[in-house]
Amino acid sequence: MLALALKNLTRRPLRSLLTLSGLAGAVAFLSCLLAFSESYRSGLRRELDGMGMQLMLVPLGCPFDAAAQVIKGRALETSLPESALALARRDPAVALASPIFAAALPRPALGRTDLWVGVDDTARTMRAWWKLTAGHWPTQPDDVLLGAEAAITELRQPGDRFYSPETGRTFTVCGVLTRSGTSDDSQFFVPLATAQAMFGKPGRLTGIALRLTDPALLGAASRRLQEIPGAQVVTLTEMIGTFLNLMGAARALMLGVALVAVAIGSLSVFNTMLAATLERTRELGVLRALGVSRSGIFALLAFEALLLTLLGTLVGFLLAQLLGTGIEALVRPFLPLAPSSPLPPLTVTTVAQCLALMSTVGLVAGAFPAWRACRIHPAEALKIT
Amino acid sequence: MKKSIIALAAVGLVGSALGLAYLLYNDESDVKTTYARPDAFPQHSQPMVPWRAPKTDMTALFPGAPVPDSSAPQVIALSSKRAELVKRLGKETPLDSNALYVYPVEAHGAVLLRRAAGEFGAIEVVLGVESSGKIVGVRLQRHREPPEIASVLTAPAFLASFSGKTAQSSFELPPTTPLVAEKSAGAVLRAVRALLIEYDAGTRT
Repeated sequence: MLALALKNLTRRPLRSLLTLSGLAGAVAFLSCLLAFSESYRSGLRRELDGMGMQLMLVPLGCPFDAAAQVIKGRALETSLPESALALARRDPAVALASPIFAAALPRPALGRTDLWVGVDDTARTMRAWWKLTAGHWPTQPDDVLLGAEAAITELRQPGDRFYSPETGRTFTVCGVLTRSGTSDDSQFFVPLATAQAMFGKPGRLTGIALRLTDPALLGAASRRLQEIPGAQVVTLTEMIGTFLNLMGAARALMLGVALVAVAIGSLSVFNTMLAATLERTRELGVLRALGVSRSGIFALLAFEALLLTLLGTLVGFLLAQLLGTGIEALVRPFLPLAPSSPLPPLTVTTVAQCLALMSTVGLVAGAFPAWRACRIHPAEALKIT
Repeated sequence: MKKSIIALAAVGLVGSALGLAYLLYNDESDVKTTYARPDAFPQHSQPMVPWRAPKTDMTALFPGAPVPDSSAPQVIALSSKRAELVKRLGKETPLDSNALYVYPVEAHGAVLLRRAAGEFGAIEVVLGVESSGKIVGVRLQRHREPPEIASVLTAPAFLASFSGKTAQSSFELPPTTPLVAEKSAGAVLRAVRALLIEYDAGTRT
Protein backbone atom coordinates (compact mmCIF):
# COMPACT_ATOMS: atom_id res chain seq x y z
CA MET A 1 0.00 0.00 0.00
CA LEU A 2 2.96 2.30 0.69
CA ALA A 3 4.26 1.91 -2.86
CA LEU A 4 0.80 2.57 -4.30
CA ALA A 5 0.27 5.61 -2.09
CA LEU A 6 3.70 7.02 -3.00
CA LYS A 7 3.00 6.38 -6.67
CA ASN A 8 -0.27 8.28 -6.46
CA LEU A 9 1.36 11.18 -4.62
CA THR A 10 4.10 11.47 -7.22
CA ARG A 11 1.58 11.38 -10.07
CA ARG A 12 1.10 15.15 -9.66
CA PRO A 13 4.49 16.08 -8.22
CA LEU A 14 3.98 19.83 -8.32
CA ARG A 15 0.63 19.69 -6.51
CA SER A 16 1.98 17.27 -3.92
CA LEU A 17 5.07 19.42 -3.48
CA LEU A 18 2.98 22.56 -2.97
CA THR A 19 0.75 20.82 -0.43
CA LEU A 20 3.80 19.42 1.29
CA SER A 21 5.41 22.88 1.38
CA GLY A 22 2.29 24.38 2.91
CA LEU A 23 2.15 21.65 5.49
CA ALA A 24 5.88 21.95 6.21
CA GLY A 25 5.57 25.69 6.73
CA ALA A 26 2.59 25.23 9.04
CA VAL A 27 4.36 22.49 11.02
CA ALA A 28 7.56 24.52 11.27
CA PHE A 29 5.62 27.45 12.66
CA LEU A 30 3.51 25.26 14.90
CA SER A 31 6.43 23.28 16.28
CA CYS A 32 8.45 26.44 16.89
CA LEU A 33 5.57 28.06 18.72
CA LEU A 34 4.91 24.95 20.78
CA ALA A 35 8.59 24.57 21.61
CA PHE A 36 8.84 28.24 22.49
CA SER A 37 5.79 27.98 24.68
CA GLU A 38 7.12 24.89 26.39
CA SER A 39 10.65 26.15 26.93
CA TYR A 40 9.32 29.58 27.87
CA ARG A 41 7.17 28.07 30.57
CA SER A 42 9.92 25.77 31.84
CA GLY A 43 12.54 28.52 31.54
CA LEU A 44 10.42 30.94 33.51
CA ARG A 45 9.71 28.31 36.12
CA ARG A 46 13.41 27.43 36.27
CA GLU A 47 14.33 31.07 36.76
CA LEU A 48 11.71 31.46 39.46
CA ASP A 49 12.85 28.21 41.07
CA GLY A 50 16.40 29.47 40.75
CA MET A 51 15.48 32.30 43.06
CA GLY A 52 14.88 29.55 45.59
CA MET A 53 11.86 31.13 47.19
CA GLN A 54 8.50 32.40 46.11
CA LEU A 55 7.56 34.23 49.29
CA MET A 56 9.45 35.94 52.04
CA LEU A 57 8.04 36.38 55.50
CA VAL A 58 9.56 39.40 57.21
CA PRO A 59 8.86 41.45 60.33
CA LEU A 60 6.16 44.10 60.13
CA GLY A 61 7.29 47.39 58.64
CA CYS A 62 7.39 49.13 55.31
CA PRO A 63 6.92 46.30 52.82
CA PHE A 64 8.63 48.13 49.99
CA ASP A 65 11.68 48.88 52.09
CA ALA A 66 11.74 45.30 53.34
CA ALA A 67 11.43 43.97 49.80
CA ALA A 68 14.26 46.21 48.62
CA GLN A 69 16.47 45.04 51.48
CA VAL A 70 15.68 41.38 50.82
CA ILE A 71 16.31 41.67 47.09
CA LYS A 72 19.62 43.42 47.70
CA GLY A 73 20.62 40.71 50.17
CA ARG A 74 20.79 43.14 53.08
CA ALA A 75 19.80 42.58 56.65
CA LEU A 76 16.55 43.85 58.12
CA GLU A 77 16.51 45.99 61.22
CA THR A 78 13.65 44.21 62.97
CA SER A 79 13.09 40.55 63.68
CA LEU A 80 10.46 37.82 63.87
CA PRO A 81 9.95 35.32 66.67
CA GLU A 82 11.00 31.78 65.77
CA SER A 83 7.42 30.68 66.44
CA ALA A 84 6.53 32.25 63.08
CA LEU A 85 8.60 29.53 61.44
CA ALA A 86 6.48 26.77 62.95
CA LEU A 87 3.29 28.58 61.89
CA ALA A 88 4.58 29.04 58.36
CA ARG A 89 5.57 25.37 58.10
CA ARG A 90 2.05 24.40 59.13
CA ASP A 91 0.54 26.13 56.10
CA PRO A 92 -0.59 23.48 53.58
CA ALA A 93 0.74 25.47 50.61
CA VAL A 94 4.26 25.76 52.03
CA ALA A 95 6.64 23.16 50.67
CA LEU A 96 9.73 24.53 52.38
CA ALA A 97 10.31 27.21 54.98
CA SER A 98 13.88 28.28 55.53
CA PRO A 99 14.69 30.56 58.48
CA ILE A 100 17.22 33.34 58.03
CA PHE A 101 18.99 35.54 60.52
CA ALA A 102 20.97 38.15 58.63
CA ALA A 103 23.03 40.89 60.20
CA ALA A 104 25.07 43.52 58.46
CA LEU A 105 28.28 44.81 59.97
CA PRO A 106 29.22 48.02 58.19
CA ARG A 107 32.92 48.75 58.02
CA PRO A 108 32.85 52.24 56.52
CA ALA A 109 36.58 52.76 56.96
CA LEU A 110 37.18 49.77 54.73
CA GLY A 111 34.48 50.64 52.24
CA ARG A 112 32.56 47.41 52.75
CA THR A 113 29.85 45.75 54.81
CA ASP A 114 30.22 42.23 56.15
CA LEU A 115 26.94 40.37 55.88
CA TRP A 116 26.63 37.45 58.25
CA VAL A 117 23.78 35.10 57.46
CA GLY A 118 22.55 32.44 59.84
CA VAL A 119 20.82 29.54 58.13
CA ASP A 120 19.87 25.95 58.87
CA ASP A 121 20.01 22.83 56.68
CA THR A 122 16.91 23.91 54.72
CA ALA A 123 18.98 26.68 53.09
CA ARG A 124 20.73 24.10 50.92
CA THR A 125 17.40 22.85 49.57
CA MET A 126 16.11 26.38 49.10
CA ARG A 127 19.23 27.54 47.26
CA ALA A 128 19.48 24.88 44.58
CA TRP A 129 22.51 26.64 43.07
CA TRP A 130 24.66 26.09 46.15
CA LYS A 131 27.63 23.88 45.38
CA LEU A 132 30.86 23.50 47.28
CA THR A 133 34.18 24.09 45.55
CA ALA A 134 35.88 22.57 48.56
CA GLY A 135 35.22 21.51 52.12
CA HIS A 136 31.96 20.45 53.70
CA TRP A 137 28.68 21.95 54.86
CA PRO A 138 28.60 23.52 58.35
CA THR A 139 28.26 20.94 61.11
CA GLN A 140 29.77 22.71 64.12
CA PRO A 141 28.60 25.95 65.78
CA ASP A 142 31.86 27.70 64.84
CA ASP A 143 31.83 26.61 61.19
CA VAL A 144 31.54 29.30 58.54
CA LEU A 145 30.68 28.75 54.90
CA LEU A 146 32.04 31.44 52.60
CA GLY A 147 30.66 32.72 49.32
CA ALA A 148 33.09 32.54 46.38
CA GLU A 149 33.87 36.25 46.39
CA ALA A 150 34.21 36.37 50.18
CA ALA A 151 36.72 33.50 50.08
CA ILE A 152 38.82 35.32 47.48
CA THR A 153 38.68 38.64 49.31
CA GLU A 154 39.60 37.03 52.62
CA LEU A 155 42.07 34.53 51.09
CA ARG A 156 40.41 31.71 53.01
CA GLN A 157 40.28 28.01 52.24
CA PRO A 158 38.56 25.21 54.12
CA GLY A 159 40.37 24.57 57.38
CA ASP A 160 41.54 28.20 57.75
CA ARG A 161 40.50 30.26 60.72
CA PHE A 162 38.31 33.31 60.31
CA TYR A 163 37.81 36.08 62.83
CA SER A 164 34.98 38.52 63.24
CA PRO A 165 36.55 41.60 64.88
CA GLU A 166 33.20 43.20 65.63
CA THR A 167 31.76 40.27 67.55
CA GLY A 168 35.03 38.78 68.76
CA ARG A 169 34.25 35.28 67.47
CA THR A 170 36.64 32.93 65.74
CA PHE A 171 35.36 30.51 63.10
CA THR A 172 36.75 27.68 61.05
CA VAL A 173 36.11 27.87 57.33
CA CYS A 174 34.30 24.61 56.60
CA GLY A 175 33.60 25.18 52.92
CA VAL A 176 33.59 27.60 50.01
CA LEU A 177 30.66 27.95 47.62
CA THR A 178 31.03 28.12 43.87
CA ARG A 179 30.37 31.45 42.24
CA SER A 180 26.64 31.89 41.66
CA GLY A 181 26.36 35.49 40.55
CA THR A 182 23.98 36.18 43.44
CA SER A 183 24.48 38.16 46.64
CA ASP A 184 25.49 34.84 48.26
CA ASP A 185 28.94 35.23 46.69
CA SER A 186 29.99 37.86 49.18
CA GLN A 187 28.28 36.54 52.31
CA PHE A 188 29.45 34.59 55.34
CA PHE A 189 27.05 31.75 56.25
CA VAL A 190 26.99 30.37 59.77
CA PRO A 191 24.58 28.08 61.64
CA LEU A 192 21.36 29.87 62.58
CA ALA A 193 21.86 29.59 66.35
CA THR A 194 25.42 30.91 66.02
CA ALA A 195 24.26 33.99 64.13
CA GLN A 196 21.50 34.61 66.67
CA ALA A 197 24.01 34.34 69.51
CA MET A 198 26.59 36.52 67.73
CA PHE A 199 24.20 39.40 67.47
CA GLY A 200 22.38 38.87 70.78
CA LYS A 201 19.05 37.85 69.26
CA PRO A 202 18.42 34.25 70.36
CA GLY A 203 15.13 32.85 69.08
CA ARG A 204 14.71 35.66 66.58
CA LEU A 205 14.69 35.62 62.78
CA THR A 206 15.06 38.40 60.25
CA GLY A 207 13.10 36.50 57.65
CA ILE A 208 11.68 33.20 56.50
CA ALA A 209 12.12 32.20 52.88
CA LEU A 210 9.17 30.17 51.68
CA ARG A 211 8.74 27.85 48.73
CA LEU A 212 5.24 26.80 47.81
CA THR A 213 4.07 23.41 46.65
CA ASP A 214 2.52 25.17 43.64
CA PRO A 215 3.07 28.81 42.58
CA ALA A 216 -0.62 28.97 41.69
CA LEU A 217 -1.41 28.83 45.43
CA LEU A 218 0.42 32.09 45.95
CA GLY A 219 -2.59 34.33 46.55
CA ALA A 220 -4.29 32.09 49.11
CA ALA A 221 -1.02 31.28 50.86
CA SER A 222 -0.10 34.98 51.07
CA ARG A 223 -3.44 35.79 52.70
CA ARG A 224 -3.03 33.02 55.29
CA LEU A 225 0.62 33.82 56.03
CA GLN A 226 -0.23 37.48 56.44
CA GLU A 227 -2.21 36.43 59.54
CA ILE A 228 0.94 35.31 61.40
CA PRO A 229 1.41 37.80 64.26
CA GLY A 230 4.16 40.36 63.66
CA ALA A 231 4.85 39.10 60.15
CA GLN A 232 4.15 40.31 56.67
CA VAL A 233 4.57 38.82 53.23
CA VAL A 234 6.81 40.99 51.09
CA THR A 235 7.82 38.77 48.32
CA LEU A 236 7.78 38.78 44.70
CA THR A 237 4.03 38.20 44.92
CA GLU A 238 3.05 40.81 42.37
CA MET A 239 5.97 40.01 40.18
CA ILE A 240 5.17 36.30 40.10
CA GLY A 241 1.47 37.07 39.57
CA THR A 242 2.41 39.22 36.60
CA PHE A 243 4.66 36.47 35.30
CA LEU A 244 1.85 33.94 35.49
CA ASN A 245 -0.64 36.26 33.82
CA LEU A 246 1.75 37.06 31.01
CA MET A 247 2.57 33.40 30.65
CA GLY A 248 -1.12 32.52 30.37
CA ALA A 249 -1.73 35.26 27.79
CA ALA A 250 1.25 34.18 25.73
CA ARG A 251 0.08 30.56 25.83
CA ALA A 252 -3.42 31.51 24.70
CA LEU A 253 -2.04 33.58 21.85
CA MET A 254 0.23 30.77 20.76
CA LEU A 255 -2.59 28.27 20.90
CA GLY A 256 -4.66 30.51 18.64
CA VAL A 257 -1.85 30.83 16.11
CA ALA A 258 -1.23 27.09 16.29
CA LEU A 259 -4.92 26.40 15.55
CA VAL A 260 -4.77 28.61 12.48
CA ALA A 261 -1.66 26.75 11.30
CA VAL A 262 -3.39 23.41 11.84
CA ALA A 263 -6.49 24.57 9.98
CA ILE A 264 -4.38 25.70 7.01
CA GLY A 265 -2.60 22.36 6.94
CA SER A 266 -5.85 20.45 7.23
CA LEU A 267 -7.53 22.38 4.39
CA SER A 268 -4.47 21.96 2.24
CA VAL A 269 -4.52 18.16 2.61
CA PHE A 270 -8.30 18.07 2.17
CA ASN A 271 -8.07 20.03 -1.06
CA THR A 272 -5.29 17.88 -2.50
CA MET A 273 -6.97 14.61 -1.62
CA LEU A 274 -10.36 15.71 -2.94
CA ALA A 275 -8.79 16.78 -6.23
CA ALA A 276 -6.91 13.50 -6.42
CA THR A 277 -10.13 11.56 -5.82
CA LEU A 278 -12.01 13.42 -8.54
CA GLU A 279 -9.18 12.93 -11.02
CA ARG A 280 -8.93 9.23 -10.27
CA THR A 281 -12.65 8.39 -10.28
CA ARG A 282 -12.30 6.05 -13.28
CA GLU A 283 -9.21 4.39 -11.85
CA LEU A 284 -10.91 3.89 -8.50
CA GLY A 285 -13.90 2.45 -10.35
CA VAL A 286 -11.63 -0.08 -12.03
CA LEU A 287 -10.20 -1.04 -8.66
CA ARG A 288 -13.71 -1.55 -7.33
CA ALA A 289 -14.63 -3.57 -10.44
CA LEU A 290 -11.58 -5.75 -9.88
CA GLY A 291 -12.87 -6.63 -6.44
CA VAL A 292 -11.21 -4.11 -4.12
CA SER A 293 -13.59 -3.49 -1.23
CA ARG A 294 -14.96 -0.10 -0.18
CA SER A 295 -12.87 -0.27 2.99
CA GLY A 296 -9.78 -1.01 0.89
CA ILE A 297 -10.37 2.14 -1.20
CA PHE A 298 -11.04 4.16 1.97
CA ALA A 299 -7.84 2.85 3.56
CA LEU A 300 -5.78 3.64 0.45
CA LEU A 301 -6.96 7.27 0.27
CA ALA A 302 -6.69 7.76 4.03
CA PHE A 303 -3.17 6.33 3.97
CA GLU A 304 -2.21 8.71 1.16
CA ALA A 305 -3.47 11.65 3.20
CA LEU A 306 -1.61 10.41 6.27
CA LEU A 307 1.60 9.89 4.31
CA LEU A 308 1.39 13.35 2.78
CA THR A 309 0.81 14.89 6.20
CA LEU A 310 3.64 12.98 7.87
CA LEU A 311 6.07 13.84 5.06
CA GLY A 312 5.11 17.49 5.42
CA THR A 313 5.52 17.22 9.20
CA LEU A 314 9.03 15.79 8.89
CA VAL A 315 10.06 18.49 6.42
CA GLY A 316 8.50 21.01 8.80
CA PHE A 317 10.65 19.73 11.66
CA LEU A 318 13.74 20.17 9.52
CA LEU A 319 12.65 23.68 8.61
CA ALA A 320 12.01 24.48 12.26
CA GLN A 321 15.46 23.23 13.18
CA LEU A 322 17.11 25.19 10.38
CA LEU A 323 15.13 28.39 10.78
CA GLY A 324 14.55 28.14 14.53
CA THR A 325 17.08 30.83 15.41
CA GLY A 326 15.55 33.23 12.93
CA ILE A 327 12.03 32.47 14.11
CA GLU A 328 13.16 32.90 17.73
CA ALA A 329 14.63 36.32 16.91
CA LEU A 330 11.32 37.21 15.28
CA VAL A 331 9.13 35.91 18.11
CA ARG A 332 11.25 36.83 21.16
CA PRO A 333 10.37 40.55 21.16
CA PHE A 334 6.71 39.57 21.52
CA LEU A 335 7.35 37.16 24.40
CA PRO A 336 7.03 39.03 27.66
CA LEU A 337 9.93 38.42 30.08
CA ALA A 338 11.36 35.64 27.93
CA PRO A 339 14.07 33.64 29.73
CA SER A 340 17.62 34.71 28.98
CA SER A 341 18.64 31.23 27.84
CA PRO A 342 18.15 30.46 24.13
CA LEU A 343 14.80 28.88 23.34
CA PRO A 344 15.27 25.52 21.62
CA PRO A 345 13.10 25.32 18.50
CA LEU A 346 12.45 21.59 18.96
CA THR A 347 12.04 19.36 21.94
CA VAL A 348 11.06 15.72 22.18
CA THR A 349 7.69 16.69 23.65
CA THR A 350 7.02 19.13 20.82
CA VAL A 351 7.92 16.55 18.19
CA ALA A 352 5.60 14.02 19.82
CA GLN A 353 2.80 16.59 20.11
CA CYS A 354 3.17 17.68 16.49
CA LEU A 355 3.30 14.11 15.17
CA ALA A 356 0.17 13.16 17.10
CA LEU A 357 -1.68 16.30 16.06
CA MET A 358 -0.69 16.14 12.41
CA SER A 359 -1.53 12.43 12.14
CA THR A 360 -5.02 13.23 13.36
CA VAL A 361 -5.23 16.20 11.00
CA GLY A 362 -4.11 14.02 8.07
CA LEU A 363 -6.69 11.35 8.83
CA VAL A 364 -9.51 13.87 9.39
CA ALA A 365 -8.59 15.86 6.25
CA GLY A 366 -8.41 12.68 4.18
CA ALA A 367 -11.59 11.15 5.63
CA PHE A 368 -14.10 12.95 3.40
CA PRO A 369 -12.20 12.41 0.12
CA ALA A 370 -11.64 8.77 1.11
CA TRP A 371 -15.32 8.33 2.00
CA ARG A 372 -16.29 9.89 -1.31
CA ALA A 373 -13.88 7.62 -3.17
CA CYS A 374 -15.21 4.49 -1.53
CA ARG A 375 -18.78 5.44 -2.50
CA ILE A 376 -17.89 5.39 -6.22
CA HIS A 377 -20.01 2.89 -8.14
CA PRO A 378 -17.79 0.88 -10.52
CA ALA A 379 -20.29 0.97 -13.44
CA GLU A 380 -20.74 4.74 -13.27
CA ALA A 381 -17.05 5.37 -12.80
CA LEU A 382 -16.18 3.32 -15.85
CA LYS A 383 -18.48 5.45 -18.00
CA ILE A 384 -16.22 8.45 -17.38
CA THR A 385 -13.82 8.98 -20.25
CA MET B 1 11.55 7.73 -13.46
CA LYS B 2 8.79 7.09 -10.93
CA LYS B 3 10.88 4.46 -9.18
CA SER B 4 13.69 6.99 -8.92
CA ILE B 5 11.38 9.57 -7.36
CA ILE B 6 10.07 6.98 -4.90
CA ALA B 7 13.62 5.92 -4.04
CA LEU B 8 14.63 9.58 -3.65
CA ALA B 9 11.66 10.28 -1.39
CA ALA B 10 12.44 7.19 0.70
CA VAL B 11 16.10 8.21 1.05
CA GLY B 12 15.00 11.74 1.94
CA LEU B 13 12.59 10.42 4.53
CA VAL B 14 15.21 8.22 6.16
CA GLY B 15 17.74 11.07 6.02
CA SER B 16 15.28 13.49 7.60
CA ALA B 17 14.50 11.04 10.38
CA LEU B 18 18.20 10.43 11.05
CA GLY B 19 19.00 14.14 10.93
CA LEU B 20 16.14 14.91 13.27
CA ALA B 21 17.18 12.20 15.67
CA TYR B 22 20.74 13.61 15.68
CA LEU B 23 19.53 17.16 16.29
CA LEU B 24 17.29 16.08 19.13
CA TYR B 25 20.01 13.93 20.66
CA ASN B 26 22.44 16.81 20.43
CA ASP B 27 20.02 19.22 22.02
CA GLU B 28 20.09 21.02 25.40
CA SER B 29 21.86 19.22 28.19
CA ASP B 30 24.24 17.35 25.96
CA VAL B 31 25.88 20.56 24.81
CA LYS B 32 29.36 20.67 26.23
CA THR B 33 30.80 24.06 27.09
CA THR B 34 34.25 24.73 28.37
CA TYR B 35 33.72 28.28 29.54
CA ALA B 36 30.90 27.59 32.00
CA ARG B 37 32.75 25.04 34.11
CA PRO B 38 32.92 26.17 37.74
CA ASP B 39 36.66 25.44 37.75
CA ALA B 40 37.26 27.52 34.62
CA PHE B 41 37.77 30.53 36.86
CA PRO B 42 40.65 30.18 39.28
CA GLN B 43 39.36 30.67 42.81
CA HIS B 44 42.65 31.53 44.47
CA SER B 45 44.40 33.87 42.06
CA GLN B 46 45.11 37.38 43.30
CA PRO B 47 42.62 39.92 41.99
CA MET B 48 43.56 43.59 42.04
CA VAL B 49 43.45 44.98 45.56
CA PRO B 50 41.45 48.21 45.77
CA TRP B 51 43.26 51.16 47.30
CA ARG B 52 40.79 52.04 50.01
CA ALA B 53 42.19 55.22 51.60
CA PRO B 54 44.57 56.90 49.14
CA LYS B 55 44.55 60.32 50.80
CA THR B 56 45.39 59.00 54.27
CA ASP B 57 48.05 56.68 52.92
CA MET B 58 49.64 59.40 50.79
CA THR B 59 49.77 61.77 53.74
CA ALA B 60 51.63 59.12 55.71
CA LEU B 61 53.89 57.82 52.92
CA PHE B 62 54.53 60.79 50.62
CA PRO B 63 53.40 63.95 52.45
CA GLY B 64 52.74 66.84 50.05
CA ALA B 65 52.90 64.65 46.93
CA PRO B 66 49.94 64.60 44.51
CA VAL B 67 47.50 61.76 45.16
CA PRO B 68 47.47 59.29 42.24
CA ASP B 69 44.19 58.26 40.68
CA SER B 70 43.29 55.23 42.79
CA SER B 71 40.95 53.91 40.12
CA ALA B 72 43.55 53.74 37.36
CA PRO B 73 46.70 51.93 38.39
CA GLN B 74 49.53 51.38 35.94
CA VAL B 75 49.90 47.72 35.05
CA ILE B 76 53.39 46.29 34.77
CA ALA B 77 53.53 42.99 32.90
CA LEU B 78 55.78 40.50 34.63
CA SER B 79 55.41 37.66 32.16
CA SER B 80 58.83 38.19 30.58
CA LYS B 81 60.46 38.16 34.03
CA ARG B 82 58.61 35.12 35.31
CA ALA B 83 61.57 32.76 35.50
CA GLU B 84 63.70 35.35 37.31
CA LEU B 85 60.89 36.21 39.72
CA VAL B 86 60.10 32.60 40.60
CA LYS B 87 63.77 32.14 41.46
CA ARG B 88 64.05 35.35 43.49
CA LEU B 89 60.78 34.94 45.35
CA GLY B 90 61.50 31.36 46.36
CA LYS B 91 59.14 28.53 47.22
CA GLU B 92 57.34 30.31 50.05
CA THR B 93 56.04 33.13 47.86
CA PRO B 94 54.49 31.80 44.66
CA LEU B 95 54.05 34.27 41.81
CA ASP B 96 50.33 34.02 41.27
CA SER B 97 49.87 36.88 38.83
CA ASN B 98 51.71 38.19 35.80
CA ALA B 99 50.47 41.72 36.44
CA LEU B 100 51.72 44.18 39.04
CA TYR B 101 49.45 47.13 39.76
CA VAL B 102 51.40 50.29 40.51
CA TYR B 103 50.22 53.78 41.49
CA PRO B 104 53.05 56.05 40.36
CA VAL B 105 53.67 59.11 42.55
CA GLU B 106 55.15 61.80 40.39
CA ALA B 107 58.80 62.58 41.23
CA HIS B 108 58.61 60.49 44.39
CA GLY B 109 58.14 56.82 43.64
CA ALA B 110 55.12 54.59 43.73
CA VAL B 111 52.48 52.96 45.89
CA LEU B 112 51.93 49.20 45.69
CA LEU B 113 49.26 47.03 47.26
CA ARG B 114 49.07 43.35 48.08
CA ARG B 115 46.65 41.08 49.89
CA ALA B 116 48.26 38.53 52.19
CA ALA B 117 46.70 35.55 53.93
CA GLY B 118 46.88 36.27 57.63
CA GLU B 119 46.06 33.79 60.37
CA PHE B 120 42.42 34.89 60.64
CA GLY B 121 41.69 36.57 57.33
CA ALA B 122 43.17 38.69 54.58
CA ILE B 123 45.62 41.47 55.39
CA GLU B 124 45.90 44.25 52.83
CA VAL B 125 49.32 45.87 52.72
CA VAL B 126 50.03 49.32 51.27
CA LEU B 127 53.66 49.89 50.40
CA GLY B 128 55.33 53.20 49.54
CA VAL B 129 58.48 52.85 47.45
CA GLU B 130 60.94 55.56 46.44
CA SER B 131 62.06 55.88 42.84
CA SER B 132 65.32 54.21 43.90
CA GLY B 133 63.39 51.15 45.07
CA LYS B 134 63.78 51.83 48.78
CA ILE B 135 60.76 51.38 51.08
CA VAL B 136 59.33 54.65 52.37
CA GLY B 137 56.73 53.09 54.58
CA VAL B 138 54.31 50.22 55.07
CA ARG B 139 50.68 50.50 56.13
CA LEU B 140 47.91 47.99 56.68
CA GLN B 141 44.67 49.15 55.09
CA ARG B 142 42.59 46.16 56.19
CA HIS B 143 42.93 43.11 58.37
CA ARG B 144 40.78 40.74 60.38
CA GLU B 145 43.19 39.70 63.10
CA PRO B 146 42.21 39.48 66.78
CA PRO B 147 43.54 42.20 69.09
CA GLU B 148 46.62 40.27 70.32
CA ILE B 149 47.87 39.88 66.75
CA ALA B 150 46.56 43.20 65.44
CA SER B 151 48.51 45.04 68.11
CA VAL B 152 51.73 43.46 66.83
CA LEU B 153 51.00 44.07 63.16
CA THR B 154 49.97 47.68 63.57
CA ALA B 155 52.74 48.51 66.03
CA PRO B 156 54.88 51.37 64.64
CA ALA B 157 58.02 49.38 65.48
CA PHE B 158 56.94 46.46 63.29
CA LEU B 159 55.88 48.60 60.35
CA ALA B 160 58.95 50.83 60.65
CA SER B 161 61.22 47.79 60.50
CA PHE B 162 60.58 47.67 56.74
CA SER B 163 61.62 51.26 56.05
CA GLY B 164 64.75 51.65 53.97
CA LYS B 165 64.74 48.06 52.75
CA THR B 166 65.24 47.31 49.06
CA ALA B 167 64.61 44.26 46.88
CA GLN B 168 68.15 43.09 47.68
CA SER B 169 67.72 43.36 51.47
CA SER B 170 67.22 40.36 53.70
CA PHE B 171 63.78 40.12 55.28
CA GLU B 172 63.35 38.59 58.72
CA LEU B 173 60.79 39.01 61.45
CA PRO B 174 61.93 41.05 64.41
CA PRO B 175 63.10 38.65 67.16
CA THR B 176 60.60 40.21 69.54
CA THR B 177 57.62 39.07 67.42
CA PRO B 178 55.29 37.03 69.68
CA LEU B 179 54.68 33.46 68.64
CA VAL B 180 50.94 34.08 68.28
CA ALA B 181 51.56 36.74 65.63
CA GLU B 182 54.30 34.97 63.69
CA LYS B 183 52.09 33.61 60.94
CA SER B 184 50.34 36.89 60.18
CA ALA B 185 53.48 38.97 60.57
CA GLY B 186 55.28 36.53 58.27
CA ALA B 187 52.50 36.95 55.70
CA VAL B 188 52.94 40.73 55.80
CA LEU B 189 56.70 40.36 55.50
CA ARG B 190 56.47 38.05 52.51
CA ALA B 191 53.94 40.36 50.82
CA VAL B 192 56.24 43.37 51.24
CA ARG B 193 59.27 41.44 49.99
CA ALA B 194 57.35 40.07 46.99
CA LEU B 195 56.09 43.53 46.05
CA LEU B 196 59.59 44.98 46.22
CA ILE B 197 61.11 42.19 44.13
CA GLU B 198 58.31 42.32 41.55
CA TYR B 199 58.56 46.13 41.35
CA ASP B 200 62.32 45.91 40.99
CA ALA B 201 62.11 43.32 38.22
CA GLY B 202 59.24 45.07 36.48
CA THR B 203 60.78 48.55 36.41
CA ARG B 204 64.39 47.60 35.76
CA THR B 205 65.40 48.60 32.23
